Amino acid sequence: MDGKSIGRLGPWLSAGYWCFGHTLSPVPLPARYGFRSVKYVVDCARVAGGTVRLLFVSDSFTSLAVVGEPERCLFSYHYYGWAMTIRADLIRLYKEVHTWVGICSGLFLFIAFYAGAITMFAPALEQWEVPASVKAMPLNEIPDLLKVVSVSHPEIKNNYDITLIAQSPDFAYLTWQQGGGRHHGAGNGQRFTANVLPDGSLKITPLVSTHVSHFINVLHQQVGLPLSREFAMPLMGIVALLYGLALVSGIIAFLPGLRKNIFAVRPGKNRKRQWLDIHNVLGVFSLPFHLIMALSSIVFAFHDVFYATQNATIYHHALNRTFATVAPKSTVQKNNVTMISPVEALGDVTRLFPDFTVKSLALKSGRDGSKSIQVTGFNVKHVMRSPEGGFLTLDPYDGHVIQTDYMPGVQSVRLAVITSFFALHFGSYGGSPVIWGYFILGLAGAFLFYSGNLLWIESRRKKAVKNQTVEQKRSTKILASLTVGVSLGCIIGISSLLSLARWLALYGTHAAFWGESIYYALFLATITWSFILGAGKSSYQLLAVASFTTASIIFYDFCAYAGIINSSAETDLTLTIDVLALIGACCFAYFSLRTYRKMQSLSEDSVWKPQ
Amino acid sequence: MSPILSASLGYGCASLAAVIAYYSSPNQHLVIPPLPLRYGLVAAIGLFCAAYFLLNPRLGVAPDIFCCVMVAMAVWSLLPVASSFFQKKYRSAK
Repeated sequence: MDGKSIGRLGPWLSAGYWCFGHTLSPVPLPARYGFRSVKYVVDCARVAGGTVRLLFVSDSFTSLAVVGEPERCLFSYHYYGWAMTIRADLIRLYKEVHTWVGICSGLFLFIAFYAGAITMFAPALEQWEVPASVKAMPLNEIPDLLKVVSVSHPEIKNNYDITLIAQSPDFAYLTWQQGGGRHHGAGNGQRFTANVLPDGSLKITPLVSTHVSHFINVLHQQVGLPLSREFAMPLMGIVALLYGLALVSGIIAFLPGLRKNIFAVRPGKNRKRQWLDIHNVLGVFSLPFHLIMALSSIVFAFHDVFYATQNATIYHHALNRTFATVAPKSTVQKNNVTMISPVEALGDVTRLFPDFTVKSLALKSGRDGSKSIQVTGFNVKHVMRSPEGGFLTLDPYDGHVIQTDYMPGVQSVRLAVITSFFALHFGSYGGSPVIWGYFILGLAGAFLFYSGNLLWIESRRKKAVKNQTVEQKRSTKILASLTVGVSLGCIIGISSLLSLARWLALYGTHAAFWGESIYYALFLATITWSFILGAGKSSYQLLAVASFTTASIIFYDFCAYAGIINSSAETDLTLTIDVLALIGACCFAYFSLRTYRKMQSLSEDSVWKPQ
Repeated sequence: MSPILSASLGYGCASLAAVIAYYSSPNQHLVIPPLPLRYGLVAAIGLFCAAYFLLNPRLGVAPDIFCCVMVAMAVWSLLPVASSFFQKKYRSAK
């Protein structure tokens, strides 16, 4: 603050507009209001050469005055700040909490966010990872196909999926599952598709899949822990709780400098400042996204506990009866009555819900033999329950609607509010721009946790005084190696899995088993490598490996295009995935080169200096 | 106006609003001097409103608000980082 700027502020404030009634009674400045206030006072007092008076200090704003000529009651400068003045010891406490909570959960969250960003495309990846292509046919020919297939595959009478082609909804393809309990991915069953060849013969094709998209989704849900779901989900819940705590403490620690630091990223020689700015920008502006993710993850992890508590305290052990009343009424199997055709079901749904775009119809069978048709689709005017969209249930015999609890637009207010939380977690609203937005925010989130770890390392490294050699602390070295190993291990593992998925499905027998084994083998190998070579040297090598594995995703399509392999698989996303893989590979290659160059000019006291 | 065009314009307006708000901030370092704060904020708020009304017929109220917030979050997260990167490039080129 110089004399000129004080002069500029003077006329505005000299009338004492802000502080009549507080003017000249000296108030001792309590030290407990923090260093920020003290610093301001000292600076202003020195420049103005006057006396500093504390006019008002509260938890929400500060009001200070520099009195140039106290005898005449004229103010030279008056500072009235809305900047938070939180006690310095509280800020220190919140910073400590933020640091340690972040360090404990950061690497788990990196895996969750990186895998989660890719999971945004899970429905498309499910089609992409299957090398055998499905053949679409006119929707009105599907009932005949069902009859023909049911002769050789009677299980199709109990379950099938008819997926409509997005560009031409009059065309669809038929799939069904033989054995296994789950609809997609995790089940042990085998999925098939069928179509009629030009000569009139039936062709049934098994859809071998590595279930890569499902595995990446599990990585996301279980924060990368290779444990069974019963053990992994509570641990994920603890990580989510730490994540929420880190968000709250981080924001409180950031608030006093909000005005000065918002939007600021100051590149320069002070690396720590730059990383802190990037960390702050990513954290503050993605805060609503991160709060939703933290809260919903806690609910996903502990919903059994919440239900049990509600059952005991609110429902008096009658929660199951409450669920039973809202479940769809089972439709008893009627042997002599034919089921409605998919075309009729589609017509009924379109007539009743014109804004609802149907994606698929699935015949489901209960354990008691009851049947229902689940119609899945989306309505962009409303939030939807899952990434696949919302759904309603039809009676397969007369086509009347038996459940609309998860149908966007016709839910009760209570269910719509609950659905909003799911939709905000899954990004199931607004269509594809939101999916891309969540993809970007997911990657930015992963980078947020990575930058948090870098800040911890930079803050704790010992600095050399007068060119003396310093030995860095073991904790700093370990965290540096872990940060490099875990984050790049996750990236290398997922990229390798995506590049090998279709090869394994094309030639492998236990493709799903090999997919998981490959991920964890590469993940552990990467961590081991970063510990053996140290964080600095391994970082550019592993970045080069990440670049190679990401680029290799397009190799399969290249071979298919060149006719080297016999694969007709091509989805709408094939080109998009290939372009994304190339961009990712170029980014990793650039970072690798840049890290290598920086490595040559690092100071001796850097943690990243190769040993 | 076709739904695709109004949605594209809506997302474009929301992105532009977020960009203008960023370049009006005194703390950003790429555009020197920054855009006038008051006019920048007024323009950003106006564009956000335009985005809301353009997206509303297609998306409905709640998804519309969520989408505008999501666009702002994505732009304000990435733009400062990208700006600092280009600023560094610009400095080193000079």
